[in-house]
Amino acid sequence: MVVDDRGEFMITKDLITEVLEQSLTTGGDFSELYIEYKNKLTMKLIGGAIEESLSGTDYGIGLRIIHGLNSIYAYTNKNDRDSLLALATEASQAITKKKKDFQIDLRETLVKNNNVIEKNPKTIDSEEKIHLMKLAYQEAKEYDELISQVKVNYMDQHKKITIANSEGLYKTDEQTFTSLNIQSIAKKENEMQVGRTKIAAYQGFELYHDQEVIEKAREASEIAKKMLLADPCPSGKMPVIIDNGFGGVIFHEACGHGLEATSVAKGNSVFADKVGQRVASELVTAIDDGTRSNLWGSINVDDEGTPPQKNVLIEKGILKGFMVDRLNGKRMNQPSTGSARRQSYQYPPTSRMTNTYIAPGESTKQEIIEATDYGLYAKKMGGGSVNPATGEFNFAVMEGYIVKDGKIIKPVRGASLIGKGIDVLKKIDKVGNNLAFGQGMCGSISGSVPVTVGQPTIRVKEMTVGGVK
Amino acid sequence: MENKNLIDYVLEQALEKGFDDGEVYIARTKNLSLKLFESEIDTYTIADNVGLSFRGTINQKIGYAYTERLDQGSMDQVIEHAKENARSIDSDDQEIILENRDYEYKTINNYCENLYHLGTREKIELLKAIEKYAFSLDERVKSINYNQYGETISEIQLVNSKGIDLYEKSNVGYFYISVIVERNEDIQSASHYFYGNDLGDFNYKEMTEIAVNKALNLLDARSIESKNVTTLIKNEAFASLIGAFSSNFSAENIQKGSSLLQGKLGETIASEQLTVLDNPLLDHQIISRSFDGEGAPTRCKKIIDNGILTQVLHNKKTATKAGVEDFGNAGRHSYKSKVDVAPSNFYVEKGEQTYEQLIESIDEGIIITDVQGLHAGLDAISGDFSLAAKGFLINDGQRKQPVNQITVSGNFYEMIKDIIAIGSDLQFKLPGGQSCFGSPSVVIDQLTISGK
Repeated sequence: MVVDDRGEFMITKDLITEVLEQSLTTGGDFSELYIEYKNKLTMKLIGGAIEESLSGTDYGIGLRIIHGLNSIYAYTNKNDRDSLLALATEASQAITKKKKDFQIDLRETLVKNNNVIEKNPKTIDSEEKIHLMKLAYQEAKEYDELISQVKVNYMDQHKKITIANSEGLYKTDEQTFTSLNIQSIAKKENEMQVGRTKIAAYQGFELYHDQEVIEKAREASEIAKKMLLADPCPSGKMPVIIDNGFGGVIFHEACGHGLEATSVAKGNSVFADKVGQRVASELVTAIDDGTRSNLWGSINVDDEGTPPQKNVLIEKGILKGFMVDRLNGKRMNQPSTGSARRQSYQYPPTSRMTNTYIAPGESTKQEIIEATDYGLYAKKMGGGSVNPATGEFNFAVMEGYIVKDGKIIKPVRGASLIGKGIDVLKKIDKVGNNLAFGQGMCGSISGSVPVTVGQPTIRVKEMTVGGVK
Repeated sequence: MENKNLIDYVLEQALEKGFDDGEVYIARTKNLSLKLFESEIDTYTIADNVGLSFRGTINQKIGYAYTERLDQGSMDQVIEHAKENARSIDSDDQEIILENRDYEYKTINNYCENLYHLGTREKIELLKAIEKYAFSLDERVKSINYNQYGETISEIQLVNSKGIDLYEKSNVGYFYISVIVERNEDIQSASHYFYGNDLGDFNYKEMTEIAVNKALNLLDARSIESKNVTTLIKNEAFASLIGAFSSNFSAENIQKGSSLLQGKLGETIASEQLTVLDNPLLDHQIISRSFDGEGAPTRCKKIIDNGILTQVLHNKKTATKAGVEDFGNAGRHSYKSKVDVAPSNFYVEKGEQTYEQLIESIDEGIIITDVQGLHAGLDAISGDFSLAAKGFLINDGQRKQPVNQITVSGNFYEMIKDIIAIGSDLQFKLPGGQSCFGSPSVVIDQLTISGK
């Protein structure tokens, strides 16, 4: 049961049952309520001083009704009985069939907590948060005289949800996230370059240690300075070594979205008809796993109430399966894989990624670099995007180096790397043993959700690098 | 609690609890969205959403808090949190809640009843007609990615303790279609849309034809050898670029040292062909508004005038800091965000030549019709961009074969100096939040295209 800060119950089980029943009076097959109560704090520092401190409470109820393969979604912020029943009535008007026979008996089942929170950020004094931000600022600003400005953003949020459906499912969960983002600007004459780092997890304030904050702050400035003094990135096709951690964005864009039932169910993905076929080099085993503790993309339960699982998507290059939610699963005749997610009560859920990564292989990072005659070493990646229907994707290099004769020889500025999903996956010819994860926000039709991307250092035989000539 | 009572309560309590000044911003939206798939309404969404933001100053430090729960207890919490937040501020900036100096506001009518002349049933029938029409246009149309309609009514109320008391109601609807075409295993997709609040202006056949033709034109698109080449960036693509770099024109970013335009007022920063305006009062533009995010009256301004940086975008706080009189670009993305600076209708003024004439004027070059990955492949601060792109080759002043799997790269500040021609085909993109970007097609002397 979701309870707010004043100890008030948000909505009783009886009322939930009434609303679920009211939604099915016009012949729907299934109804589901998602109740969300979230508290969030953001603080921003620039130029050494705290400039902004903003906190807020999100609260709303999302109602979904499914009939056949179609769905109706309605949401509101009002939780009184009249408003909720009116919502259910209005939503159900979109169906005009005969009411089915059913009885709703909500039975609460416990959600296993995979993500232990030790220090709830709500209990931490703002002085401590400010200390972290100022520490990051000091270390980043003092790194080098070329550093002209540093911005530090802090966020913590605590979300409580209740999920209930007409099959009797009733679950509640609490989620705590926190992040520290550091942006360092290096400047000379008419040029500026930026370095960015972050610390983020599905975790409490115990995530932060002064030592790591200092390292990340210095790293942001190191990147900014290097890129300011770097040559432009070359242009054309060449081998690309992508470092571990956020480098995993290549898989996320090249393949990840195309393996979500969201596109697959309607045949709008290049992977839709390829289960059992080779879609990647045999060095590639790729997994989406929401069960890993305290990663930024982890979940205790998905947003339809299904427990997460470790989903092996590709095994030694062969496509094994997809990430599936209930509704798209109906279309595909496949069970849910615990992959249904949504940004908030304002969105119906659909299959999304959680922590998606390429499994470690045999090579070492050193071996991969030494084996490359000429190519780009992409040490830090930015984000990217993809069109799952055509497989065309792009993602950005933030910090790069030229590799020549097996050695890293000089830094180069960022560029976008482009390609087509299956084509690029088949060209992965080296996979390292140093798996690491990076955190990001992923946007799709059910809104923006926290995800991690991961991989060891890998090499792609050939990619188009969008530098300057 | 009704809005007026809520607002009065919050402002009274705020002053009682120690705030010097306060402001309440309430936004309410109602949404409908319909998605069609294979002749059935696949998703039907209705929504009613309201939120309240309070911000207040204590000794010129400002704290913010918002809530989606509009009961009295939540109002007390909001004031308490905002007070804690104000205490955390240690910047020297003087935060200001805008005082009403007998401001005059232009009348903008952003609400049109014609959006509802078609009921929901008829809108559904329209979506079915669009689907049928798309498939009928060409046998290579393989499937429809997205076929949807959405409409929003929005009400905003902004009241502060210094005499600002404003209200605005607006509505907008949109149709959006994305099609997938296929020939011999080559798959391409393209989309088009309509948005506005007068459905009398909507021609579903025209929208569908544009999407299908865009997609078909991309079939057999190939990558090309990497090279530096004269580049004609089509209107919508250039509007995307202008939008992505528009943050550099914000006085807030300039004053905070994250824009290269610092100290450049009055200087030539671009080709003399380039004039850029920010006009919150444009007719027929959905995001046009008579007051900005802090309640100041809005007005049109020239940002770049024949290549010279003449003005930047201000809110009251940045204008006071800079010692200038003009403001009116306070930005507020939603009740969940702080007040900063944002462009409104921000666009490149159109030139003389038609799109066809621009193509004819180029011996050898490339047309870029689409750019992707703007959120990742460019950096507003450095000005660098490297974006996945699609388009067509130009040879002897004629549009030739389609191109994809390429990137277009450059630096924004260099690019605007290298503009050699500007077209007359001004087009605005779909508005995003509180800004809408537009541009005609623009020819750049040289940009780097990377491909094979």
